[in-house]
Amino acid sequence: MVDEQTGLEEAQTSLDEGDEELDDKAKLKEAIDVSMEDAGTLRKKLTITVPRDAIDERLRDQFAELRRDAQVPGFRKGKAPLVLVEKRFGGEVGDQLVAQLVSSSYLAAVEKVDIKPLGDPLVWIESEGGDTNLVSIDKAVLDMKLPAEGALEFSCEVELKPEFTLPELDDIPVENPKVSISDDDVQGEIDRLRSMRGRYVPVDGKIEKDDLVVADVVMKVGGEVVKEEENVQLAARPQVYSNISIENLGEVLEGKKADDSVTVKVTIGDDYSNLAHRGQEAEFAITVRDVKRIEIPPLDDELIEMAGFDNEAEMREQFKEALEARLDSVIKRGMRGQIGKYLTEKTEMELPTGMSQRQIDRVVARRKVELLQAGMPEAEVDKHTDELRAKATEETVTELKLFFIMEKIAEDMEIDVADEELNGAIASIAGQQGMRFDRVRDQLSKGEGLVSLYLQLRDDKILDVLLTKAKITEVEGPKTKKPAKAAAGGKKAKKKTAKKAKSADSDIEST
Amino acid sequence: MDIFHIIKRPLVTEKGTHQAGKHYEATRTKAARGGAYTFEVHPEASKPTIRQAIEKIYNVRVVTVRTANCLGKARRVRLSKGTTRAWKKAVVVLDANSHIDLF
Repeated sequence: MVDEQTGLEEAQTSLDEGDEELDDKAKLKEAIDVSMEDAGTLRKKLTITVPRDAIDERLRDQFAELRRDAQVPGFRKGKAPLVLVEKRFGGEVGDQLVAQLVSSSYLAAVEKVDIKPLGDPLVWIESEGGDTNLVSIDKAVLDMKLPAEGALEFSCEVELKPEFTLPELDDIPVENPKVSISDDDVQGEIDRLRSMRGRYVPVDGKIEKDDLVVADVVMKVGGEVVKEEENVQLAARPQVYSNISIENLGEVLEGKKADDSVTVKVTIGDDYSNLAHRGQEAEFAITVRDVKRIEIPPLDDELIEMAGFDNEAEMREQFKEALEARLDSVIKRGMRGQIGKYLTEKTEMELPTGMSQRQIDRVVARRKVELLQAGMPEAEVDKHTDELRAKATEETVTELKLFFIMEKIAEDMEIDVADEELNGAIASIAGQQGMRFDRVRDQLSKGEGLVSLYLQLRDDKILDVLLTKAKITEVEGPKTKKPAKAAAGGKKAKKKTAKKAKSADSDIEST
Repeated sequence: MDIFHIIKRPLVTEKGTHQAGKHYEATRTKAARGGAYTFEVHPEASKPTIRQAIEKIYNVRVVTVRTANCLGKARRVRLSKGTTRAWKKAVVVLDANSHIDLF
């Protein structure tokens, strides 16, 4: 009972504090003077003047608070006279107050002129050389000083959220491709499982393509032995050996038998670690010791049991279900993509240039790093910069557009992601990666992971809602993503069967 | 002795500020500003020299000067004994029309 009461009281006081803050903001909103002018598309320049009265009032509050626990030599704590405290801590308090005033007056100004800003503002700061620069608000407050007399005046630039009207959200035309899982697809899946369980078995006779060869290799450059190694495992297909790729290894080895020797000549590439050897010809003398071939297990009870099924029919059934689920999600994603495309195409808006520029720069930088990591020389990458930029611009513009559209729809339709849903999604990620829930959450919350996860969930939710309202037309869809995949699977299956036949042959040979 | 050697420094303390604010009654004149201010002074300075020095430095009228010799406190670091320095304190009572800005 008693607890309850104190709890109530606490709530009451916290409410009061909240009111005070609100009051403060409203007062500041009244007090400040704002003038707004255009500075480019969706960009405004705000000049904010905080009158001296407001500054003084805040200063008084600050010092009164500070006086209560200021430690000045010669005085007990809290007993020093105000004048002395002001003199001693004036600079610090001023710096603090300026930071506080700039941010709070900016917020008040935004409310006063009624704009929807995007991100943090940039503040004009006069540097020592006399020229003015735009700096982020965090840096600006470090340089700003509280004026000893008169009002505090500063100007900042801010980007606005684009204003636009949403297109019709009901009856969005969506095509639903009709694809089903055939027995061939299931067979392909089973074949993949079988090949995963395959083992390399030694065989007599000639080497065929993709066989595994155990061999002794001697590498010579310019007649000099550089490297000598025994029992190297090589596959009879293009291979990389000690960082040199031997493209024609497959053809050279094919048809050879154990104890045969072959030599391969390769020109060493420009990325080889030893500078002196770059561009020279390397000679590999390969002596075959052993030939091994993959043996794919037949679809027997053992395999079925290992995969965790009771019998073949059940296995096929399960595989089919899994494939259908996957197909379903692919189709659903496709339909969501169609809605996204509809939305971006039907909406017209101007994008804030600064923000999209920043985003594009980020994307271009990332692509460049990717190319560099893929081994493209830097000069080559620089040549493609324009191309990359053009591509990135296009992507970013649609991405940003979709972002704004989604935000507006979420606001209009009052769609939000609850904490439980977010936690659920995190838990499922944790489950997939085999990590603990809190670790995944910590990792996500370090970067922007949590935010993007939230956005993703929200967008999915919106698109699902739109999908229920959409006008779905069924189309025969042999040319969507999934059938292509299925076709690939089919090819694989054929290859596997060919292999199977081969391995059967080799079985006969070995017996 | 130079007047700036006589007056070493004003003492800005809680007690001192209290006296500075309240002690005008000690002047036995009409309530105005005045007050008593505390200084550390040269140990050999006398009351008249302190009065002169204060009147000259701060351009005020002094009513009374009270002095006190503050003996150094005994200190010991391990086995070596010693004392902190001894110093002289002066409380200067100002005329009601005078005032010193200490901070």
